[in-house]
Amino acid sequence: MAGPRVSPWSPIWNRFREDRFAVGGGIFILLLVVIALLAPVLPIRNPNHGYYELLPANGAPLSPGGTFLLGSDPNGRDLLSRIIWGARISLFIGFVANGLALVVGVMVGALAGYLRGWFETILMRVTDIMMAFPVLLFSIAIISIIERGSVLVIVAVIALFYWTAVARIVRGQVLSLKEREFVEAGRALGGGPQHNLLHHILPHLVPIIIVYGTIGIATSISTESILSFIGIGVQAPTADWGKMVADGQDFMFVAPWLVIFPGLMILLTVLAFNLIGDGLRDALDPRARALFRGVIGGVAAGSAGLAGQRLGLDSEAEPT
Amino acid sequence: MKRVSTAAMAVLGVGTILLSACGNSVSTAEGQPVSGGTLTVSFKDDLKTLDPAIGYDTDSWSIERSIYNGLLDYKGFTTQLQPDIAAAMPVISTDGKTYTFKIRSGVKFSNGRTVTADDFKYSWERMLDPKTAGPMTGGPFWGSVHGAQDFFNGTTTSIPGFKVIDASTLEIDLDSPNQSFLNIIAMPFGSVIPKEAVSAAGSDFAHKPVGTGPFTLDKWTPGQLIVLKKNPNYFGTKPYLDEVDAQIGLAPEVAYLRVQNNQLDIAQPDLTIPSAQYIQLSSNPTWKNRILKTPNVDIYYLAMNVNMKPFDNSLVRQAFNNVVNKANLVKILNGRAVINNGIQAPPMPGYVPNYNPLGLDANGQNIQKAKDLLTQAGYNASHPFPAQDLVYTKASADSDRQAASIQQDFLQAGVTINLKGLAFNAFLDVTGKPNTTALSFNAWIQDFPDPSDFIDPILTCAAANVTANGGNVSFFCDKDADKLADQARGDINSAERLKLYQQFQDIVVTKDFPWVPMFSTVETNVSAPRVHGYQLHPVWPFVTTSIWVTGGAPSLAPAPASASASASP
Repeated sequence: MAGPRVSPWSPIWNRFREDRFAVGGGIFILLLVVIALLAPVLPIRNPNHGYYELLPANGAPLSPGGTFLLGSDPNGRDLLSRIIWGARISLFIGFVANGLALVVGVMVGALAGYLRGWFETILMRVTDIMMAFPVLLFSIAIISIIERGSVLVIVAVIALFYWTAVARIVRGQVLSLKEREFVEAGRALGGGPQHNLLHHILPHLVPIIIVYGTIGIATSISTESILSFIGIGVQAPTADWGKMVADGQDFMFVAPWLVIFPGLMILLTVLAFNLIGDGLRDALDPRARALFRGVIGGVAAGSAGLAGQRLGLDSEAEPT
Repeated sequence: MKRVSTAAMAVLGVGTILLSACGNSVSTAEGQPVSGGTLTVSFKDDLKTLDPAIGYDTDSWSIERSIYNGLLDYKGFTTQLQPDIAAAMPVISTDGKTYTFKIRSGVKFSNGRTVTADDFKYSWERMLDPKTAGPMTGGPFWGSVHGAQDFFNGTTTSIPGFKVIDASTLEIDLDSPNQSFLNIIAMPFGSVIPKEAVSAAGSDFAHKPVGTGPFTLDKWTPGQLIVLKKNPNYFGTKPYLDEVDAQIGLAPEVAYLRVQNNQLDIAQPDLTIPSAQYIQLSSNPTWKNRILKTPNVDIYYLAMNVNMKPFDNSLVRQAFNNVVNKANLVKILNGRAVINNGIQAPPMPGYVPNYNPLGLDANGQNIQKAKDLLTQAGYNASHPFPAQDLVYTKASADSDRQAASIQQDFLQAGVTINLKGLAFNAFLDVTGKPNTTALSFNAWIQDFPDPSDFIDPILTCAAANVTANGGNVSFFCDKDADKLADQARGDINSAERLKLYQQFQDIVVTKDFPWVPMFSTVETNVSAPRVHGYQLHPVWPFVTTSIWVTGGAPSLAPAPASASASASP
């Protein structure tokens, strides 16, 4: 077995790239991120400037394909620019809000699962209470009280509600990992809770964090779109997909593109993140012990052996 | 003091000055009127009240006008006053302070009792009684009636200026002449109501109205339905319709779809067609010809609170007058508006066409001048103009779009504007209170076709001297201008009077700059093909008496197209 040294991630990547939907989703998000990042330097119009002078006398929005590639809204704003700039808001809120939710969720879940006792009781009851709130109603209340339209408040509100799901799953995992031999060994060798959590348990949580992190981005983006749609999210004139759908619905019969394009972007983005999440879950299947050894244990495995493993796992994880 | 939810307009407007090409009624042959049938209209929100002493919005007036009458009314669809319950136009003393009305004989309330002069004295005193808590108490319109101020203060229990001479003669004494007093009497606040019905209703006359009008209230299911039935005791020409149903709770988008599917006759009769629906209807050959148009007597403006920073500096106010691209705002309303650089609306007597004393360009702006004035006011790169909140009402999506357009204009002049859209009631609260709102997007629509209505309630010192619910939202008070308004109010020479109002306008627009006047709108509405004789009234939000219907009543159930086709004539 004198094969070349293989990165521990490569078997996962190999499995992931066989899921065409997940790869498609990944390419879509990658493109979206690149375009969103480049928005300020791309040769596109100011998304918030209304070119009223280009509108006809009756103020009807311009249809796609003419002056504006994707048409204009009734304020004479370029829909293409607004969609690109809207991607920045959606992705920013998706990544940041969900990142916050992950950090809080993993911390709460891991501590609760590892330390148990009254600590766990309190943390998990708080989690239960948070999960019992009707998310949208509560978000509306909080945003109305604090500050309408502030991106940071929206991020905080989304994070506030979505850490709970992560916390529960992580706690469950920690509960079972904690009883495993390698953690016991760590304890027996005198490792404290901090050492055991960081060095023995946390690495095993990485796949879960990745999978739920990706799917959570989708949830965060759709939540943000809903908040903006009902008028308490991002405020005018900032371009935002949810707000664009809300603004466009009056004109649905006159200018259907006002609803279709931003609506499609929300749909595709959320779908793409979900597909990536699904693909990653399959690729990181917790049942694939060898795989985990390969990745988390840092054991370099021969490509031939892994290939065999992978075939076997494929039939298990992907019945297609 | 009728303030308007921005861009969601009431059906008021006069004449054909603006739109010589458009009539305010459908010109196609409509055939002979037929009696009978039910007209179905819709409102977005439930009516606030049907008490004529309380209602001061176009929704309430739409239905009130079918239930009540006063001494005077407008002749047909004009702005000409004519006797209604009065037997003739009143005799007015030469000093303009005493009005004597004779009451028509045989006018009955819908409960069968005959109307007398006492009923007017009762109705008006109730309407002005602080205990009724109606909007006319303490206000400018009835304040000049002899003894009204003491009555407002609660020191007297009756108004000596309303004098019952005999059962059919009523005399009104004013402390000072008021040339628009007949218009004031004709407002729905002047409606006559029977005392016994008010006591019978307890505190709920608003929902159990009794009047003299062509219809009576048959049923009001709150939040759902109002049913009016023909009044058998009506003294005037009987209406064609047997019944008027008002469906409550239909958003305009839904309502106009229902009209197009023959499931509704008229959507929101007191409001203009929203922009999106207007584009759709006006580009449809079948519906294009059914759109009614008439100029609204209204003015949309930015109000700058002259008592609040930074607008206490008149240079800032002058600068702001050079910023707004009014042509864009007109375009957002599909061209259903005209740029207005003054304070009077187009069809109003004394309106000056093409008024532009500040020398603004065709869009109503001069950005360079605005920047220069702001520099002069002491703002520059190191001391930038502070960001301002623009408070406006989110009553319609069109006002959102207009606010965004205004925001963009100010950005060009280096001024950051944050948009604060509020619900209509909240908007009225924060803009009507002194020292609360610095900059707001306002609208004013006439109560009656006299220029005083665009000055007394919204631009005088008396109107600024309030603690809440004020109409003078820029809290503008200029003693010289006030003198002109006082003088004009009683001036019998109408040409001279209009000149005084024009001088008033010059002071506001060229010296004090409390407003950025922007535009005046054109009212539009449409009805299902089975509706005939529907017209937009220059003053009233909705008139039911000219309407007749043919074919079956529209079905509000989601009927298939074939089932509702019978509704077309």
